[in-house]
Amino acid sequence: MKQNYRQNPLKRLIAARGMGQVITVTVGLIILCIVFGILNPTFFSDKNVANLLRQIAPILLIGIGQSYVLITGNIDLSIGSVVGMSCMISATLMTKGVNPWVAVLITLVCCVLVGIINGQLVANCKLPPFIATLGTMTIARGIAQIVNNNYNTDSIGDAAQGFRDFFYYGKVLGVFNTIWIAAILWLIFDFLLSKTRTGRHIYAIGSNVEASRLSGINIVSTTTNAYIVSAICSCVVGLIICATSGMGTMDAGNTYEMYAVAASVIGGVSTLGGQGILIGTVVGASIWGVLQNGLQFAGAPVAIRNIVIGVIVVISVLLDVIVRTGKPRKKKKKALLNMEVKA
Amino acid sequence: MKNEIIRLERVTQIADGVTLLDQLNLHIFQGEIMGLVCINAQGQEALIRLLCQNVPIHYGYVYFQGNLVNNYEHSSMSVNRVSVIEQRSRLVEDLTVADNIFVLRRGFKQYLIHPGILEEQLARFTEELNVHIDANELVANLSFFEKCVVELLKAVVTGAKLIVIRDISNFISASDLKIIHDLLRHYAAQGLSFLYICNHHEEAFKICDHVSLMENGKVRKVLDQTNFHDEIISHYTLDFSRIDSPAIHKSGKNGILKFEHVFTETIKDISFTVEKGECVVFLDMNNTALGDILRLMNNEMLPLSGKILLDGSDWKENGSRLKKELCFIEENPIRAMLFQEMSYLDNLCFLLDQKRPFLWTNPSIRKSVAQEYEPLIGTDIYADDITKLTPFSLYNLVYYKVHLYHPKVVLCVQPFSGADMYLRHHLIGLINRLRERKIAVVILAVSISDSLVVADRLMVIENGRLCREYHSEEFHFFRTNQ
Repeated sequence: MKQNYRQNPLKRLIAARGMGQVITVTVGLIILCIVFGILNPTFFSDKNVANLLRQIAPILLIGIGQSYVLITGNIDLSIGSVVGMSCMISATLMTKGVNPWVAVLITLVCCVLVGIINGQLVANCKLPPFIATLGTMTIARGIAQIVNNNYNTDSIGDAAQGFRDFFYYGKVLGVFNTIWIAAILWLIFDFLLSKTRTGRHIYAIGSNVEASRLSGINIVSTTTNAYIVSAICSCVVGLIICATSGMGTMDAGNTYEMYAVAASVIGGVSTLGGQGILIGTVVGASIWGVLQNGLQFAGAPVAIRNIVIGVIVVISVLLDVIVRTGKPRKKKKKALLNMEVKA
Repeated sequence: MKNEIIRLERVTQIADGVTLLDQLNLHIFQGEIMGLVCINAQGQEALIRLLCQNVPIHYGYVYFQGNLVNNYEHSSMSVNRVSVIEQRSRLVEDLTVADNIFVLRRGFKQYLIHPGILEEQLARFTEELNVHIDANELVANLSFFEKCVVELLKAVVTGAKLIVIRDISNFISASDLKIIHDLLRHYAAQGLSFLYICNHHEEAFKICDHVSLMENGKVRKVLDQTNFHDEIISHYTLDFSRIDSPAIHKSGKNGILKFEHVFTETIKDISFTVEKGECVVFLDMNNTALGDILRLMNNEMLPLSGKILLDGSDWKENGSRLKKELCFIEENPIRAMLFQEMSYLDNLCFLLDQKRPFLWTNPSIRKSVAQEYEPLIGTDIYADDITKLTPFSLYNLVYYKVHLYHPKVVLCVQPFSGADMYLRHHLIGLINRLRERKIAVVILAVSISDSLVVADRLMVIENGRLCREYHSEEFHFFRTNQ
C-alpha cells in the first residue's frame, strides 16, 4: 500500500519562516481595528472601509516589490522615485496625445529598465544595494522632473478617462479596480515566490549566497528579477497616482520607499534576507493604512502618525533581529561549534 | 574490473611561490572509501578545489571517470561531479530540507514546486537509510548531524560520483559519527566513492578501505587495510607520548572551578571540580551539553538548579565579577579571536586592559609586555600586520594573550580542530604553558583528537549526564573502549 508522506498544507504554511510574526501582527491589526472602531464607529462604515482598502492598495504594491528585494538580502531605495517617474512619464505622454495604453506600455518599459539597472549594479557590479539604489533613486527623480521641463503636467484629459477608471475610479463587483489590481498582482507574485523555482532561488540567495552559487543558481539574474518585480510594482503605483489626480506631479511617490520598507518589515520580511512571506506584506500594509486612517479619525496630527509608524517599524525590526539571532532554538542548542563566545 | 572514478597523476600546483601540491598521485575507484590523513595542512585546500573543479595546474594529469579532464597544458575550469561535506555548510538555512535537496541543484527542471511530491521523494531516501528527517523542516533548525545527512542526500540526488568528507569528527559527536560511517558504507556499497579527510589515522582506519598519508602536498604512503597498524604510521608522525605535564596545585576542597549538581535544559545533574593548573577534557558523546556549559560560563544563562563556584565564590551571585577570572579560546581562534587591523602587541594586550585601565595611554606597560614576551614569542611580537604571520605565530598570539591576562580558568573549545599534526604538537606545548602559570584548562570537545596527551582527567558526557571519569593513568581503558 502506498504510504502517505504528505504533510497537511496548513501545517506547512504555519511552519513557514516568518509566519510567527505574521500571526502576531495580524492579532495586532485586529486589535487596532477594534480600538479605532470603538473610538469612532464610522471607522467600520462601508465608505471608510472601501477608502481604507483603496489607500492600502498602493502601499501593498510597493511593499510586494520591496519584499522581493529584501528577501534577496538587498534593498530598493529607488521605489518612490520610480513611482514619480512612472506618474510623470505616463501623464506627459498622455497630455501629448499618445494613446493611454501605449503610454502605459512605454512607462512600464522605462520602469523595468530601472529595475534591470538596479539588479545589474547590485549583482553584477557588486555595488552595495544601498548606494546603487540611492543613485538610481536620484536619477529616476531627475527623470521625473526633466520629462516635462520641471513642471507638473496639465490634466491628462477626457481621452484618458478609460485609463483613470481602469486604475482608480472604476469598480468590478462593487469593489474598486485599484483593490482588484493590487489583489491580482499580489496573487501572481505570491504564487511566483512560494510555488516556483524562481521563488526558491530568491529565498536561497538571500539566505546563503555562497551555497546558492554552488547549487548552480544564477545570482545576477535572480537578483535582477527581484528588482524588476519591484520596478513593475512601483510603475503600477505611479499609474494609480496619475489616474487618481488626473495629472502628473513631480513629487509623486516621495518617501514611498520608506512606506514600502515599513509594510514589508512589519509583515515579517527580514531585512537580513532569506525570510518573509507576502501575506505578511498584506498585513504590514494594512497596519500602515489602518494607523493612518484610524489616527486621522482620532484627530491625531500627521507628525504623531509618523512617529507611531516609525516606532512600529523599529519594534518590528528589533523583533526580527531578536528572533533570528537572540532566541536560541531548542535543536540549535545541540550545536557546540560556531558558537559566539565573548572572550 | 574496478571502475576508476578519479586519478591524479604527478599533479603539481604552485601558488604565490608555495608548492601546494607536489607530484601528487591519488587514485580512487568506484565504491571505495579512500582516507587522506594530512600530516600537515599544506595542499589540502588546493586538492579539494582541484577535485571539484579543473583549475590550472603546473604539471600532471587529472582523469575523471577515465577521461582526461585537466592537465598542465589545458585546464577547462569545468566542474567535476564531486561534492564536499565539511563544517562550513553548503545548505541554505532558510529553506526546507526538501528544497535544499531537490530544488537547489543544477539540472532541476520543474518550474512549479510541489512540496508533497518532494516529501514523497525524500521519504524514499530516508527510509532506505533508516533515518528520519522531516522534509518540511527548515535547515536552520537541524542539528549538525542532520545537516550532514542532508548534505549527503543532496550529493546523492545531485549525482555526485565522489564525495569528499572533510574533518567530519570536528563537528559530529562520536555516537553520530558511527551512524555517518554506516551511511558512507551503505552508499559505497551502491557504488559511490568517498575521500575521507581527517587528521587522525585512528579515525581513518575505522572506515576507510585505503589510507593515503599526505605531507607538504605530496602523498608519502598509501596503506591498505592489512597495513592499518600504529607501528607503520609512526614513522611518518610526530611522537606525542614524550610530552610532560606540569604539576597540579590543589586549591582547597572546592578547587578552582566547581559544578555542584547543575541542571539546565540539556545538562542533567553534573558535578565536578577542577584544580589549579589542571587540564580536564569534557567529551560530549552526543554534542548536547557543551553548548550549555559555555553559555553558563559566559553568563548567557543560569542553571535551573545547582551551584557553580569559581575560586570558592558563587557564580550566580558574583557572575559579572568572576567572569574576569575566566577566558575562552574558541574553535579556530585565529579567525575568531584576533583583530586583523591591530598589531601583534595590541592584540596581545587586548584582554589586559580589564586589569590595567591605563594600558592604552601608558606605552611603558606595553613596552614591558613586549620585553617580557619577546623571548617566548620572538620578533613577531613587533609585527604591525598580523595577516602576514604563520598560523604557528598566530596561535602563539592567542594563547599568550590568555597567558598574559592570567585568568583562573580557561575554556578551550575543540583546540585541535582543523589543526595539522605539527600544529597540534605546538598547541599541546602552549596549553602546558598556561598550566605552568597555574591556569586551569577546561577542554570542551566532541571528538577526542589529541586532548588526552595534555589532559589530567577525561570526563565523558552522554545525553547531558556525566557518565564516566578517567584519570590520566586510566586513559588506556578509554582508548580500549573506543
